[in-house]
Amino acid sequence: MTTEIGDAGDKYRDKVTEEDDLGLTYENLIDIVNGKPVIKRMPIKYNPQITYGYDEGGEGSGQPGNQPGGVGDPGIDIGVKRGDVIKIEKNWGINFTKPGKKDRVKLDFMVAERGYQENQEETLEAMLQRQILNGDFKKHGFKVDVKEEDLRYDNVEEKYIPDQSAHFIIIRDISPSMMDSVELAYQVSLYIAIGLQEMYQEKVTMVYGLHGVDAQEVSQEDFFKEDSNGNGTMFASSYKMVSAMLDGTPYDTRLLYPRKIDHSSEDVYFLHITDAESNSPGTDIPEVISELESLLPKVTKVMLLQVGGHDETYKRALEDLQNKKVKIVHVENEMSENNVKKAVKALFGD
Amino acid sequence: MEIVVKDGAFENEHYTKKARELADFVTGKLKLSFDDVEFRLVDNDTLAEEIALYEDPLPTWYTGQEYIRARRELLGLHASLYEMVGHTQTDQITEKTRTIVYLNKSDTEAEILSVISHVYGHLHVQKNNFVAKGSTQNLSKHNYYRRRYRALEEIVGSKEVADVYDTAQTLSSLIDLYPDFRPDEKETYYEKSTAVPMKNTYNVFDFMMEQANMPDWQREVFGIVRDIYSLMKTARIKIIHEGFATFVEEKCALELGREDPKLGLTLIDHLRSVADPLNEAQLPYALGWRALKDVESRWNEGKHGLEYEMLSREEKLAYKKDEGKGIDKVLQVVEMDDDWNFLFSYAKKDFLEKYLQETLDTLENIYSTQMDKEEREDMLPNILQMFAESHDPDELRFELLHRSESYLPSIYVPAGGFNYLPKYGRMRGVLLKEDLSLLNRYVKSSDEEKKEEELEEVKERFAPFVTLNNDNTYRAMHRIAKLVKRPVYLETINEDGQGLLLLSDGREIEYLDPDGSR
Repeated sequence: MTTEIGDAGDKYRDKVTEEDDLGLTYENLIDIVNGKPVIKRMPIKYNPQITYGYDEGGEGSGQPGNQPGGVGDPGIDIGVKRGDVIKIEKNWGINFTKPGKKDRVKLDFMVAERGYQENQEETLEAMLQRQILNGDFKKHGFKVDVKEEDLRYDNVEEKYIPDQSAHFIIIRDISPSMMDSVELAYQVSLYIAIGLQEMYQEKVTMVYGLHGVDAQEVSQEDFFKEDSNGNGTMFASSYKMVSAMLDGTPYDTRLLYPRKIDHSSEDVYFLHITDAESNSPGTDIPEVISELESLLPKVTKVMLLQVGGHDETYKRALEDLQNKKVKIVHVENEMSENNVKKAVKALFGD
Repeated sequence: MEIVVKDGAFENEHYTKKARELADFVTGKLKLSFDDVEFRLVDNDTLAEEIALYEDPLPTWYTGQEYIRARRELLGLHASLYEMVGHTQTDQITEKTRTIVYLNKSDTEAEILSVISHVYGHLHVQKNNFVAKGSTQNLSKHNYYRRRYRALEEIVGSKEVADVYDTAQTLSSLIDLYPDFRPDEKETYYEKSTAVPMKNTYNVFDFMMEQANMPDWQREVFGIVRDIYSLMKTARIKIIHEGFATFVEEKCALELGREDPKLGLTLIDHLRSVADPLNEAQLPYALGWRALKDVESRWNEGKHGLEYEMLSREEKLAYKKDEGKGIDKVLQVVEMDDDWNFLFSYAKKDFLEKYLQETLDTLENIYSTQMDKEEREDMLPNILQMFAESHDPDELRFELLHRSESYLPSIYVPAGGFNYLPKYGRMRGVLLKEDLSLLNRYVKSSDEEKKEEELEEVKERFAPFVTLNNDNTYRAMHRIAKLVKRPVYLETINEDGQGLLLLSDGREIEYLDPDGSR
């Protein structure tokens, strides 16, 4: 390898942390750690230039539908660092201990100078991996050529790996009165999703749904883009949809296949975002309660986020259940840090 | 013409023989022409470094970023078929110039052969196309630039040099990218006006550099950056470049397949992954290749010219006249055209419809039982989806040219623009104007009066794409304002097609009407 490039890599690393007027995006790249592909987000900085195009709705994070993330990414905006969100949430006093069963303990080999006894088998394996990756193996075949970076030690470190994954189901009310609350819904669900990912070490599957009178599962993109349909509002349908997902019975979905969530081996979180103004509370709410009672043993947490609205029938009905699994919060329909904090703390905190 | 494949300091005899055989085929039967080539088999790290140094040969943070990115991409096996056509190098003893091409050492033989044939296509374009001819870079020059950059860093300080470099990079897209798009304006000896500048100036980079008050070392950094980034001019032949390289790759695959059918099939398989019609990023490859193939078959069968165009649909299908001029026509296209001309002259509506249908057929073959027609259409790349809805070839061409970054905005300083004061303006500043003459391409009528009306319609239709009203532009304007130490006006259109004047004072942006009122 030539050395023309010099310390340019270090300059880049400094530049990333520096505050300046440069643009910033992230790129998902596959890195290989211990022979396994791992996706890493690489920050990319660029100098501003006069370019074509216009910004829809201005810059900044938190814009609904603005550059949704890749597959399996819970809609994290380019520009929002997951680590930052976690930090903010920790500042709010939220802790990330996982409910349910205890973690399995896994013993993992440590790669470091701190070890004391060399593990030859692991070392040889690492050497082989390196040779395969840089192409030497293909050219020269197997050759014992241990380098410092290949050394593995017998010093073991305890690592907790989660034995469970989770489903996070978010269902949003799209009645006309909920039109202005998209951004708040987006922010709160984003914070909870990131928190869950921290808890479950990224093994979280996101499920999105919308409901008016009837509920339907939708893609992430539709979830944030969909306008109101003006057909009225009923809550029971969304609870029925969640039950159907857990039982594997048919329900309405825009995705290719209906899903079946195995609640015996996975944790299920359900967040319902609404202004709690049902068309016929008299019949709807009792139906919700009966659905919920059969649902509660199967799920880990049911969260109700009431945004605006004056009707508190729905909220009180849930409060009367006095179940620890049910979290309820009522916030004003206004996009502010305090509101997000209040909602996230009440729903996701202990 | 000398061709050699090197592995480290030594010649790799096996690949050298194969590369020469391929070169005999492409120069003989396909009539390609290019100069000496040296292929180098290198490992991932070196390849990543060469990719980064090609992007920017200076040891800057930007190069570091490109290096780390390229290294991770290669390591993650995103790109096993990766070739890197480097710059030319002059041999100091023989004084011969040769192009250096880097190949990935860990590729299989079939991969290396398909990459070599692909490279021959690129080299032909590089030598013969009228845009590419004018912009070549030399490795020895880059070595000198690197030395100077390091020396400046030592004398002035890394941070200071990097800041100047950043400003220069911001301006780098404003070198005159399309000099052939408009008639030459000449200054006369007896010019009376003393306005600055005296005529419309399209090379904004040079103009700003002249006007800005800066020490000589900063001027040197600007000069280096301008020279390096003049390579940007070749972005406008991206579709031709990649399309033709894929075209040559296919021909070579078929040739090699005659003797060794298994190898031929493997090569075709690689070709499919390079020119994947379902991948938006690979559209320049796929569409360029298909368009060139279409040209070849049409000129082989005589299906062109007035006589043919006037036939009915059925007659066209039955028409055949053995001409055999296919490959000559393809070479002519590659030499004379840029992407814009190419798409407008040869990617006609018939061809695009055929291309769309073929892509849909491919999808049907894969997903025939699982999906219905609408679902399959959803899987097309966005650009093709739009075409499937509108059937408007202009829209597809426009999108393709702009999304493949073939065309950057053309900006100029109008005569007298350095001391510009709008009618209702408060302060004098530099005026930059967006040149929208590219849009004239989409006006079809020849009647003068109708033309203007149609131009307005076209403007409105494409306004969301050609407007410069975005955050990136604002920040670039702030930088220019800081450089020339005066406010910067930018005349463009907004996303609805109405005139818009942006004003930057180096910190804030103001939105004005074109006459300066708000």
